[in-house]
Amino acid sequence: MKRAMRALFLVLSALALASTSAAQRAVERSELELQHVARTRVRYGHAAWPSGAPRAGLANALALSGFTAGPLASAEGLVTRELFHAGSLADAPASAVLETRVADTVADARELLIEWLAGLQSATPAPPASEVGLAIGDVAYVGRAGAGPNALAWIAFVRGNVAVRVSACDPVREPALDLGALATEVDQAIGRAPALETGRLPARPLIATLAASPTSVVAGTAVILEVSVADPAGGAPHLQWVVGGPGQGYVELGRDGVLRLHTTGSGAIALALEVTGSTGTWTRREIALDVLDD
Amino acid sequence: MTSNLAALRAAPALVILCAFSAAQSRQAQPSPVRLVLDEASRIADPKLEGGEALLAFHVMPQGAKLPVRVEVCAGDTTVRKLWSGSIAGGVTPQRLLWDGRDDEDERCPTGAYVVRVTGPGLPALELPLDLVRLGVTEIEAQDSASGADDEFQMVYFRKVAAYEHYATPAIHEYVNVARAGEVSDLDLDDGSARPVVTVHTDTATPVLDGSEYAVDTYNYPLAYVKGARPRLELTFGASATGPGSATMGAGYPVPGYEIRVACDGADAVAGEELAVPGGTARIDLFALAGDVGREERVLTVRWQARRTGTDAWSDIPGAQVIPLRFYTLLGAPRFRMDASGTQYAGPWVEVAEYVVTWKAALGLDTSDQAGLTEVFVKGFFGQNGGLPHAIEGVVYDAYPLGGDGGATHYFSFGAWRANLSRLLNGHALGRFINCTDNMGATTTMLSMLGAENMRPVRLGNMSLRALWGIGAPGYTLNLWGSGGHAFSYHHIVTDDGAVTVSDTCMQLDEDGNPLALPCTPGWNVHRPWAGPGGYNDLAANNTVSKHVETLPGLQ
Repeated sequence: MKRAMRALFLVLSALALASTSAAQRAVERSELELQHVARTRVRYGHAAWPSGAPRAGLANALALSGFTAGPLASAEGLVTRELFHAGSLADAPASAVLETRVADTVADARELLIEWLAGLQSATPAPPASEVGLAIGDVAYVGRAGAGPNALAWIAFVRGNVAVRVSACDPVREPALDLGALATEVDQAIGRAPALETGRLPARPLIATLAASPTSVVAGTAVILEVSVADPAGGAPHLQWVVGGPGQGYVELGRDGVLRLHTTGSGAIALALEVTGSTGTWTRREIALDVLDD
Repeated sequence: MTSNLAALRAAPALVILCAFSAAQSRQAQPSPVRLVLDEASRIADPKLEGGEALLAFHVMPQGAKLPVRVEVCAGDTTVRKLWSGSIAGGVTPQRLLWDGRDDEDERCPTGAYVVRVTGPGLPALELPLDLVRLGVTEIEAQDSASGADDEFQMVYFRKVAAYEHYATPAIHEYVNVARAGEVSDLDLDDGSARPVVTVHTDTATPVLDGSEYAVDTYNYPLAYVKGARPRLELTFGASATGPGSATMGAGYPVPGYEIRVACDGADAVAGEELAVPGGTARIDLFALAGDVGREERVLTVRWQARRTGTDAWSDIPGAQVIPLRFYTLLGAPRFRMDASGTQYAGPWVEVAEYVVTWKAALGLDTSDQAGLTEVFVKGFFGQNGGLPHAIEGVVYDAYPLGGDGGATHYFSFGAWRANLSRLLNGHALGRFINCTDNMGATTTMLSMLGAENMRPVRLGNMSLRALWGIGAPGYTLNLWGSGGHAFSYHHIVTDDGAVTVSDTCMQLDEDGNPLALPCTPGWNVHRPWAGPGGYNDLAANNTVSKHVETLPGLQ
């Protein structure tokens, strides 16, 4: 690892931190993309989609018949799980992928469905789920797979403020995978969640404490992190750490049960904690540390 | 001759005590029969590879015959009867090695010893010898002496079942020190030298100690810009294991002497070459290869000593041999402007390794961006040369291939981010990919290897001509199996503002008749966008709109 000039790092990091949020907003969407998305809305009759009641959330730990879920992955509220047949060997490949997002509003959830549909390269629209005999969500579409007469590649739908996509990992390997049954179970789980009162947004997890001590250390130091989070449903939230540079490091839960940021490279660190609550809503908080040359 | 006589060898002589041996020779001159010292180690670390202490002497004059005894003493105590026997006079030296063990075959502790050579009626040769414990316990890669920003941490993206990104989880890329409860950094508890650590060759998971990142034993690959001279900071071990598994010091500095490193294939940094226990020295390796790829080096660390105040450095016997792996890049890794997170620390090991595989299979040159792009397009697509299938075995998401209508699975439009880690993890989110998945992977992978100005190009609707999609068995004029041979949009890549474009998603038909099968494969490597034989011409029946977009982020 290089021994960087601290002063330069500090200047650069300050610039980087100052520009991060602005730059994220500034990712320019091309006119071609905007036109394509607009056409997608029209193609799928977005304006006429029925509107369901928003829900408080969707449990991360879904019990899906015949399947077990792999480790949860979460990125800015999009929760992804790989689904394995229950009882399959440890090294067996996943059969399906379940993506869900509990959005604040119905409109936000629909935007993700539009994004999924706009991502299809084929000029032929995907059929509604009803065309294959599935009554799922407020609005739902499917992708037929060429692996078999009834094989499906994916099912994407919105119920209320929850967007869901279930995809088959390899329809050729598993042409009989019942994607419809999986999607139906997820849809039913959403339906069982409490409906939100008009005007209320789903509760997000709370990061009550996020502190590092000390906040200025020499590279190589393990910094103890104090974290306390509250889950809106009283469950176990999912924690995702993002170590923003130019300083380097990683967060690890030690065998003693203590969370530590192990610093490995000098420079400012913007340490972000992204917490996804047990019902799929999420929040993020960030603290700054300064890592000096060793 | 004693049975435990140290082995003779033909290794180069290492004379540290030139002045001393000359004086001894002069003392012996008056005698008609005398011992003449040829060479003797003044400082030695027998735990190094080839590090036994050397003694060489002969008897003069020719024709004389003399019983001689050679012993190693610590103070007044003889710790090792090294050799005894009769020597015939002549200039051929008797060469002896001491492995640092006593007569009980136990390793002697570091410290001062005397090698005593005696014969009846002769003044003894008494040669001071210091046993030390030399060794590098940590290596930190740094930017080269040129001042360029040319050294980068490599990134792994998976930790057992969990899904995490992180750069090489350490300050030093090579660490080989005492584990919890062990006696010393340089040795194992039985006194033997701690074995060097082999290169970590897994391309995804880092070195783990149970469920945690290993912190005391690892040897991670290093990443430098091609042609760089890696600067390495070596840390010398300070603790060794003595008799009875007790901790002991490294036995140096030796009073009156200085020790420095002098590695094979490297120059020591002037003024930073002296070795002290627990201290550091820096070296500049000879230049790495001038192309993108992987290079295996062996760092042979040697030590030299000199009497303080003199200029003559002499080799200390032996060396420590440490394997190192280097990945070379086209330039500094490039990421999206607002990139943040450990995955942006440097090139991903798995991505760099893909180039190595593809380059070897295709026999192509990666010394410039054009060559690297060609390797990437052809390697990513696969199905040619020694590459039987596309990257990670993916297949274009078309109905006739078992998929659907070209859905995106490894790219988030909202976050404008490629989910590369999942794609490289055995296509964890599914076997089928589309053009945007390809674009996201190609732009980010090339950029992290130093390719400049890689950008996505979004294309408008396309009435397609013959194409061969990634992972497909061949060309088609009916991509979706329904007769609708068209794209609602398409994603490709460029590094020159779309004057030329590259595409890992499909091959076009170059036989002059792209509306009929069979076809002549045409790779899209820096293919001109416009004109006859250009991308638009070969790919579509219509004039296609295009827009150069922002480099995606990574996940």
